[in-house]
Amino acid sequence: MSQFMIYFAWFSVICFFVGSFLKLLKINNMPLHLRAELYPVVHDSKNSYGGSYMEDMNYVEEVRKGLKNIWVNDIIEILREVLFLDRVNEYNIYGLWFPSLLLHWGLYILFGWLFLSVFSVFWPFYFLIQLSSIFGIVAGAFGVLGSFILILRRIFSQELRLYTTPLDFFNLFLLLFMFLATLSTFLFDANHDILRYLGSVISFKTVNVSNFVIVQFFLFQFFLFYFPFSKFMHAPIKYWTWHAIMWDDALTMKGNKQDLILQEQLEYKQFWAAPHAIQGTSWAEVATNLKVEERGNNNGNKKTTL
Amino acid sequence: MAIKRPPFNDISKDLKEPMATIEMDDLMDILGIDKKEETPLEPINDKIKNTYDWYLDGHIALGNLYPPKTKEEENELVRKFLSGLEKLLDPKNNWPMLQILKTGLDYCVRCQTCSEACHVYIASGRQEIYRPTYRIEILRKIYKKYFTPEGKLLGSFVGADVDLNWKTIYRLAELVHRCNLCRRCAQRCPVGIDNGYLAREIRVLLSQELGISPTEILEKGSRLQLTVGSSTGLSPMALKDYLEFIEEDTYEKTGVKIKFPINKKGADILLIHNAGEFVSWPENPAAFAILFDAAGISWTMSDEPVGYDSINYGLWNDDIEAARVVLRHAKIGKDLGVKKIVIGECGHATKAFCVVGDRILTGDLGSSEISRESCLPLLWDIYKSGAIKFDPSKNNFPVTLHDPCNMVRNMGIVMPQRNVLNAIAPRWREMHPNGVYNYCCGGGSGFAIMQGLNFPQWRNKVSSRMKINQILNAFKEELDPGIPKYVCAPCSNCKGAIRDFFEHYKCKEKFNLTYGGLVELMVNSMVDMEKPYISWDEY
Repeated sequence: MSQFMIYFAWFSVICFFVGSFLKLLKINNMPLHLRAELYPVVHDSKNSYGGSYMEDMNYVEEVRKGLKNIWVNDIIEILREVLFLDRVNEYNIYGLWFPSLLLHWGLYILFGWLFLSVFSVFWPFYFLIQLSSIFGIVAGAFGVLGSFILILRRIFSQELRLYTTPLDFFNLFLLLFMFLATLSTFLFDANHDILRYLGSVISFKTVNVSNFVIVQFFLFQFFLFYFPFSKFMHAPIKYWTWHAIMWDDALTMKGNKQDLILQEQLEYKQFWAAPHAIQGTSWAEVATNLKVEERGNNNGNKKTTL
Repeated sequence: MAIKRPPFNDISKDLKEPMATIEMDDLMDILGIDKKEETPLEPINDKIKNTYDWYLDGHIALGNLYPPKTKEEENELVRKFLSGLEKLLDPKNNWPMLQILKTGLDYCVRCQTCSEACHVYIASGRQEIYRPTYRIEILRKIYKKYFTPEGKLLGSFVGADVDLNWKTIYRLAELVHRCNLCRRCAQRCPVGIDNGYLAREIRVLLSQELGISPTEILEKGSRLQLTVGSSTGLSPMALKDYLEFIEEDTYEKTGVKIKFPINKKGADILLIHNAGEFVSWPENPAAFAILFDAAGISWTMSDEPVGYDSINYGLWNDDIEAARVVLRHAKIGKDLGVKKIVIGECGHATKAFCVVGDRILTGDLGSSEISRESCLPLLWDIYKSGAIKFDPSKNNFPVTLHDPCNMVRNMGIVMPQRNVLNAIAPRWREMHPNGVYNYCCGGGSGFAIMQGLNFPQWRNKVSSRMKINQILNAFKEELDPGIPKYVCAPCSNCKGAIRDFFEHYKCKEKFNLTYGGLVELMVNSMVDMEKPYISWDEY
């Protein structure tokens, strides 16, 4: 095994964590958006029927006193989707739920296998090694089956094929080969080299390992490296799309942090060029002004400027 | 069957026939209405064929969008579109929606789980172009091609394969006006992508950068409201006449004297109606006045321009116009010194002011300083207060409730209207699905007011199709025209759509259906009302 694989291993892990972190940070640091909540908002105490605090008269007072939001519901709902793909199960009519579930669980178990394997390098207990092997085999089997069925579905369903780009197929084939390589390592009895490989990565010392293991880890490391730049990021993105957008029902109260952020954003200059916009003014200015020629143009002799 | 699956690139091509055509056989069946008895589809007329680019689906929502005459005009359109898209992706030009847009463009996994949520897609017989993802996929392809390194480098491999020319822009502009922005699709997305709001972002680009918008929404909508005072064209002086007429008419019909309080400083509540109510459904603001007076509420209306019209069409396509209107409403309320501003029965206006406005109005105009509420909780509060005596037996006819998307799915106001109906309408029943999962009336996002060319045909046949089917199913045991039935729709836009499709499907003659708001039902059941308030002959 060459030095390349050792450095690539570390590089891919760094890329995975740093790249994902930076991507998520970028999304997190985007300006505070307008409220765009969609009900049911799961942390609302009335979420069982999709209700909100706006059902109450004088809800501002209720908010001031503090709402009884059930924040753990946000986590539970996201986990339900991440672990069981609930919405896909309930609403997808293209038969994507079962193979997607297999593929997702294949990935989760694959990370479990890696974790146990690294653990086994330091504490090579028989039980731990056996458990990691079971994880590896199950991950491989689930992943192969899931990605293979998904590829078939996307090829043979007219509706899905229209929307599937070559890159989407590339992603699915990457997963298929990665899981196939994982499974092959076990099927062809090369799995004993996994710990040796991981040990060499940790110690930066090259060792000879089976080609199955090299291919398996090359693909896995490529997956890690590629993850932050790909659509695979859709899993952690749910925290923002759901928690920070679709369930963001936070009311603006004078002087609170949100109020101050919004005041700052309203000072951003905008350069929209339609005739009714006023290019180069701030959002606050464009909202409080009409163009000069539009002012006072009403029949009621009342002021219309803002 | 004529279900077509046009490749995305068709949007930019010279075509001989539309990308999709609406045919009766493909449309969803409606309970109690035989397709053969429906008003037949009008063929595309020569005026449309000769004047517009009609190759999306043969229908035209943007009657003000004429093909460019010169190559320079074409190039300018493309340049402006790209400049608009660049601004849409910029944190300062598009702080209101950037996070929603970027996550939506980058992380859709194209599983199509959202599709079956869409009433337009289903009612059309599942025409591909109406799938919630179709229009967004086109935007995504343009975005990738012009704004991402992978798109510039790898082109069609990453899906960056739609040509951008004036046809692309015009057909995309039409296509985003085939979505009601009801956001039902977003409820189902396993990733949390909001194709409704993404479609709105395309509208924002078109409106804020190119000034492209249906006449009824921008030129005769927000522009008219901000310059004259109301999108209906009502000036403050004309409003005065209307209000006097409503006062007199109410007295003649009911014997109840009402007087709309105007600019009453220090009142508890500033009530702002959709001005369309004064023109089309005067019994609605009159019913509010009867209820508020009977309940002893301290309230006022405003005759300041914009202050007597709650509409905010910017909600559908323009953040600048939306901000201008919410700011004007809030300032008028502040100047009057009211404790809160209540929006009458109008869904989009309520959402624009209470939810969207919450992040436009800051400091002294913030929610904590001047409260902004829907009228529905107030109506339930009026009932609960016991100040008015109601007799539910006066409403002894079948009633069903339409949930306006903007107040229910988008604001979570689900129970107040149901509580009122439980109390005053003994024969009311839900339509299915309902509450936050209800279907749009088909008039959402401006469709209800868009009456140009052959667009109303598309709206009645396609986007409102699910709703008429839902309504008829809610009354399926009592479709007999001998039984009068009431569709309670506490939203002006929804009422506009319902009015049109009731006429289109001849619902009065065939099923004796009428429609109206919640306040009319409340007043109809007031013990003190000597005559019935609901008029079954008018709609």
